[in-house]
Amino acid sequence: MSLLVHYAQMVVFVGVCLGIGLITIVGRERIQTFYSEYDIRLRDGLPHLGFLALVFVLSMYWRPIGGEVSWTVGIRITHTLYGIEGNLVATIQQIATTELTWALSILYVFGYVFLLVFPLVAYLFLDSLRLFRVTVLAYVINYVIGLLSYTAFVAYGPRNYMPTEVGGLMYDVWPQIEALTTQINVNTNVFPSLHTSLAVTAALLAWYSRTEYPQWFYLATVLAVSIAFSTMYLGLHWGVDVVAGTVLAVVSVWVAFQIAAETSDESVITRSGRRVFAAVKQARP
Amino acid sequence: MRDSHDSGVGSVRRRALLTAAATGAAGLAGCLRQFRSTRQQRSPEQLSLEIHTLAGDYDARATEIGRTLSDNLSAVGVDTELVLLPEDELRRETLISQEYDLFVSRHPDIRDPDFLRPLLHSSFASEIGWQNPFNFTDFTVDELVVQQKEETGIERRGTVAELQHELARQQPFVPIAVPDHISTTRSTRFGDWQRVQLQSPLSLLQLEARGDESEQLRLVTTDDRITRNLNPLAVEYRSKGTITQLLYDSLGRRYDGKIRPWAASDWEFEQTGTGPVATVTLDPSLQWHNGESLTADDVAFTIEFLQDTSLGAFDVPVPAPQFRGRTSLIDTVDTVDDEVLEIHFAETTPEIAVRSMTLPIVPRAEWEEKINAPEVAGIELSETLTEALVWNNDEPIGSGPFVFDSREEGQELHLKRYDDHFLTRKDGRSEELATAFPNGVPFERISLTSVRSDSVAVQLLKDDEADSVLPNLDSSTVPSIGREQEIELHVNPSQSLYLVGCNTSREPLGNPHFRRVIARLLDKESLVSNVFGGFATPAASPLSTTTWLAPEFEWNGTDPELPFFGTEGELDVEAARQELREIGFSYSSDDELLEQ
Repeated sequence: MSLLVHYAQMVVFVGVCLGIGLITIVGRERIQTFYSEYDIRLRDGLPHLGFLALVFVLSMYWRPIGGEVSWTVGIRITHTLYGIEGNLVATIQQIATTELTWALSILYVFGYVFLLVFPLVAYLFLDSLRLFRVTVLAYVINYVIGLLSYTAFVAYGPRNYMPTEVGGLMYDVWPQIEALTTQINVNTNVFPSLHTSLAVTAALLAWYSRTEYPQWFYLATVLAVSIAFSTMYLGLHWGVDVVAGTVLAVVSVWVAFQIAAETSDESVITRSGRRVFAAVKQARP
Repeated sequence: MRDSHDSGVGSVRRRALLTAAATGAAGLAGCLRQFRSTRQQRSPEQLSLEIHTLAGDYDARATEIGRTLSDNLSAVGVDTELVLLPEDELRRETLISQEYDLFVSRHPDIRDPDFLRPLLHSSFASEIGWQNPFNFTDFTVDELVVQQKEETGIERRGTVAELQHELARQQPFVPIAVPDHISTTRSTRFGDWQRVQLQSPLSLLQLEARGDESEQLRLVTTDDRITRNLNPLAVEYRSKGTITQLLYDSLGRRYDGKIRPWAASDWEFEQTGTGPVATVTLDPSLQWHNGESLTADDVAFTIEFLQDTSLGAFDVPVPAPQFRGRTSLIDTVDTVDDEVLEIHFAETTPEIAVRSMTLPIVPRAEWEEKINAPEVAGIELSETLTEALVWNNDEPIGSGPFVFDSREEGQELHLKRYDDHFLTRKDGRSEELATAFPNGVPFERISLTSVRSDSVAVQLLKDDEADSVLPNLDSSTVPSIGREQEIELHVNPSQSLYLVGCNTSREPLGNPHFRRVIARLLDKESLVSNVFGGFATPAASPLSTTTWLAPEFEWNGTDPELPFFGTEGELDVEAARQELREIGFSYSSDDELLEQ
């Protein structure tokens, strides 16, 4: 029951933010242009979203298997992570206040989803869909490397390593949200921080769209930095996870630019999508 | 002349050569000998030890004890690694495969000193579970743990005191503290929680329903293992078996302070020359959840099965580890008819023997098929385990007051009342049962929700989404429970013991002097105030807080046998290093403690 409420809250929050973003950041002109050729843009854009969804679905099947593989052969690195940075997270938590915890918790859960979804929408309104394709590929690369790393390394976050010094602040002020986060997170999946890597990825890509969406570049940067900070502040990730997440983001964006097709016609994913659409159209004349 | 001269010179030279060759040979041989001995005496490296403990999400107290030990061992020059695990993995690595150096864990039941027998007797060293996980072998301790089970009264008390001395001296494991059992309840739907001992499943049945909406008891837990596996024999998944005890009956149950007949309508003990014999009469109306009747044959089967789950098929018996202490008290079982059986005990007293009445009873028809080695992808694993010990038991069939309804792995478990159970039917119950459970089973369903942290569990009670927490909360939740009007706080001494186990089959943990140093690296007093928030009693003896505690080991602010090196949790590193040197350890020039 409460889980459904959280999903509803999420949809409303992200929906409202997207709406505001479309009006203020994307602007009326681009929306009008999009409107005139939305069928082509959607036809060429949707296949990539489908690909992203496919990766997510496959990962759902992989997660429980990966968990067992991880306990069987994974390398246990929690102690090493602590050895590298010591009490960094405990020190960060000394600035904690209830207000800040609330702000960063909402950012961590809802702001994060907005930061990742907005580019997927906004880049459909650009003249070329290349940045859109790069975004999808970069997300997929982040996610796949992240999951492989979770399988290879067993690592608990600071909250689990030093429960007295580091509190699970989010669950203290907002226990209800636990129902949502346990759906998604396993407590041994901390190295690297995927929250950080995906947020930084979105911010790096925002730099490439700074001419078209200058405000978005600033907003995305602020959001990404705050989210990276929140993962430590909330006791969920080590500083090392955040650094590793940032490196992963840089690598993913670079690789995505290398492999993303220059034009829609050259993109394998788009071409496969077009064929599917054509086949569907033929099937129901 | 010349010749002779020549030959003279020649002979001198030859002699010199021979001498040189001989010395050379001797030198080479010596060299080789030296090489051989130095090769065997490889240069000592820094001593490294791993500490296995639970991650903070599962038990923050165990995490912190492990971390304190890890920090202090590092301070005295040991290369230490703290390994965090979830409960089932920790048990796999310590209690089953015994691949560890040191571990921090919680022994579930210290009420009767007989728990020390399977825990420490050398004959249990090869077994899994809480059967000598330390691989400890000691003559004196073996004798004492056996002796105490054959004695009564003042004699047993004397033996148990002597045993405590021996354990304090040798420290096969380091007892840390007996935690308080902290729980919270909500009285809107059920009342009389004060009377209920929240640690016992049966006492839940003594609750009083308030109003018509009380058909479901809603429990919340931070331990999701019961939603993953319902096998009462699975050692990684069971702690106290609170839920499985509601699914499976036993001949007797402990209620109102004593083990009393439960599924048995009565029993009688008779002392013979070889040990006590109990004649047990079953309640004739007992039925399994599938409608088949439960007979003396099922009980006899269960006892033999728990003693060896391979039923003699393997070379080495595979007993059910959870119940090893109790099954090891029994010699043989004979059925007289469908309702009567005779249990012949090994040499012990009825006072101790009665503990085996609490073994769960399982249906022969189902469990008889679980005697083979478990298979993974069609390959039979080793003959050290049987399927009975590892299978999930997804749809348990017992005879207990509750029937399994549904579960969602990692999330929820639902049970419903078994209407044919003697408690619910209410007819033909003994007077004892009728007095203790006047309402029969006061609710129709039990739901158990698993959440990740204690604060979430408490929140569910505040929001009226749960009635009680199972099994135990961290002391950090106490203030937030206290602030809330709607929910009550319960604090009672628990029956469990936090301990640091030492794998005595690995060096240098086989050395009792070294184990004593480990004990002195932990300030139990400061752990109790900092990690347990004061909600625990420091333990110098494993029987601390029981009536069996020898008076010399009463806690008086410090450990009477092995006081901490330092004060108020601050380690006096030099004192500890000095002690290590005195017991024969050395340090490298970088202050690293070297292997011996």
